[in-house]
Amino acid sequence: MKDRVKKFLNNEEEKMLWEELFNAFQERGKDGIMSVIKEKAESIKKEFDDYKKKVSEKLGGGV
Amino acid sequence: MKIKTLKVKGFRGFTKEKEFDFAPVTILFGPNGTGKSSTLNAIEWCLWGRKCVGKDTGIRERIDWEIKNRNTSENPSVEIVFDNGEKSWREYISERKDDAQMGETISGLLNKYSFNDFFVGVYQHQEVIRAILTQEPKDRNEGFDRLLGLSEYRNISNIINETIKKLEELCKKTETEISEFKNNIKGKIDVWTAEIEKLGQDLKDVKDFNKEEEEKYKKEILADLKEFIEKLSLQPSDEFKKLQCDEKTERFLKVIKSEITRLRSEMPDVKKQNELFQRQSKLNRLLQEYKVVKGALKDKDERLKQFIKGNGSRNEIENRINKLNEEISKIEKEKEQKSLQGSIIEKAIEYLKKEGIDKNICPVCGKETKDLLEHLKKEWEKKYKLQLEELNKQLEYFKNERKNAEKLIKKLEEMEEDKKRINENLKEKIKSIGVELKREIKEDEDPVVILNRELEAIKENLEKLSKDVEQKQKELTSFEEKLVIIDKLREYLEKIELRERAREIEKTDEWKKMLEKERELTKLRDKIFSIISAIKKASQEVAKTKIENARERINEYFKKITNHPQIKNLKLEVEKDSRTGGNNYEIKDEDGNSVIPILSQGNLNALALSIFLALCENMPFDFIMLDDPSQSLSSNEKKNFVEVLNNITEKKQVIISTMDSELFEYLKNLYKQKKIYKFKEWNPQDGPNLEEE
Repeated sequence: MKDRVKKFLNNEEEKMLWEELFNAFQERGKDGIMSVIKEKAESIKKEFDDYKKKVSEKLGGGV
Repeated sequence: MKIKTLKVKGFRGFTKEKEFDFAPVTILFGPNGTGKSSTLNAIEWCLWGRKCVGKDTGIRERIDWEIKNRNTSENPSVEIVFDNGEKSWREYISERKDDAQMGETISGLLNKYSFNDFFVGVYQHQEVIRAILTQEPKDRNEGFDRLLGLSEYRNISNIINETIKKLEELCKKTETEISEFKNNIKGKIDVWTAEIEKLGQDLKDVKDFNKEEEEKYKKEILADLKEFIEKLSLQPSDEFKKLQCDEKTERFLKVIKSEITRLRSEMPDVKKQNELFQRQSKLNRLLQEYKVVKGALKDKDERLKQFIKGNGSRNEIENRINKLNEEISKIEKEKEQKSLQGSIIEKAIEYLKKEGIDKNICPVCGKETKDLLEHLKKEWEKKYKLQLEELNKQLEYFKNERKNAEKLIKKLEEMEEDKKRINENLKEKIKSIGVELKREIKEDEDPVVILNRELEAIKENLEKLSKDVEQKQKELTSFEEKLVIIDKLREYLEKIELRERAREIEKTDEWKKMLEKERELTKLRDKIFSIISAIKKASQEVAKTKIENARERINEYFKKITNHPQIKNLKLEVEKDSRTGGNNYEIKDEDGNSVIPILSQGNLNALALSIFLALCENMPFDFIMLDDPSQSLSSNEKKNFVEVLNNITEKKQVIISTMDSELFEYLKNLYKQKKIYKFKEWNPQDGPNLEEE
């Protein structure tokens, strides 16, 4: 299944993410997939929030 | 490799150990809930362990599947012996651990094929047929997916789909945050511009709007304030002493403000002024207190005079009491005499009553008197009783008068005592005034006059001081006004800087990185969308290949089982479901028309069996297991299905479970050697009750 799905993916990034999700499913089932996506999204969002805070501080806070 | 024997213990419906011998055809027959499916599940679990348990199988019924039989403390264990002598064995140790041992050949197969492959090509589950029979296209599509071993595709795609909703929300939230952030910055720029304009108007006297000008103001105020302090002969505070012009403006302003506040209260003139205010207030209080006590004394004196005028002096009242005492004593004496005489007559009356009435000589007047007793009674009443009553009245009157006079004496004493006390108080007040003025106040002097003179002097001093203080306070106020200018200039410059920064913010690294993160989040979402789409495409591709490879067989078996008069050839096709993007299965005739509307439940059941039987032929396992295959088959379809099975038994060992007695009878006609297990009643202590044929 892993390789069959890969065939339909567009680039290496997508293939790597799929492989990560598939392995997570094999190891931890549904929770595995959920936690991989959640961790990735939360990590990006946290970095986004950090930069947003820095921008706000540059403008004296309160923006 | 076919199954020879099976031993099951403590697994699901099995409590005590049961052993089965398998023939080329093994039929498990009996009513629902007697352990037939548990027997097939035992084979499945022995080979695959926990891979066939739980939600990750993609089979709804397996989510809460319990391996362990609740009626025995023994661990579940299953042993299979194959016809080549190999043995497969599995024991359940805990929720997370099994002990298992597999023979070499079966190990090779289990490594090469997945549980899904087994599920599709070896073990036909009754749930799959139930799903195919449903009227709901969504559920039927799911049933076909399961039949074709695509549950894992569907399962993973559904799980990812669940998370994508949250991810989309997060993307939208981030997008909104950026948009709100931009609006907020724009709003702030507008507010700062308005504030800068207003501050500019307030600072019209300021020459230049820059840091140098701010510095100049700071230097000026620092020097002026130092000079002012020296002029007052005061010491500057420690903080002020250390203050430099290059100090941060906020702190600079804070220290200066605090120094001005200190000076306002600690200037010598202000201190003197405060002392005089305090003395003025104290003398005024003493004056008021003196006036109050003096007034009270006057009032008390007046009342005493009025009292004496109305009731007489103390001597006069006392004389009156003496006279009343004399009167009372006189009347009491007379009353005593009269009482004595009266008692003699009373005794005489008693005597006469006792001795008889013939002694008519009056013991009072000595005359002979007729009806002496009656006469005596009248005389006694006339001379003594009435007189005594009169005397008592007089006595009561005089006593009352004496009591009133005594009260007046007491009242007079109280009033005199009060006056004395007020007088003492007045003397105390005069003494206090003397102490405060540091001089003795003689009896002929009026404290009011003395105090007023002193108060007048204080007032003059205060008026003089007030002008000086006002002048210095004005100077301090002018310092404060300069502070306001410095503060506004600071605010002006700060807002200018902030506005410039806000205008340039989109050029900063932080801003660019923030947008990059937003794009990264969107990219993650898009990647996940691509993955879902790829899973669906792959699933479709697999479905197409499997159907294509087994197309002829499916058609052949379907025709044999149903012998449908309207369908000469049947074609199963898979397409992309336009709504879900998943697999949509269409069943068509040779002209490409959908036949679902004319298919009975039995036909659908037959189609599911045809797909299973067609797919099982390519699997390298030498046995197949069918669980309740005839759910909706008609009598003819059952008979035809058994005919098809006759072909299958040429290549595969068949293990079939059924509760259908009609099918059971047909199955007896299978050509190959058969073993029949009749499942009787199931009970918790023993598990399935079997009868072997």
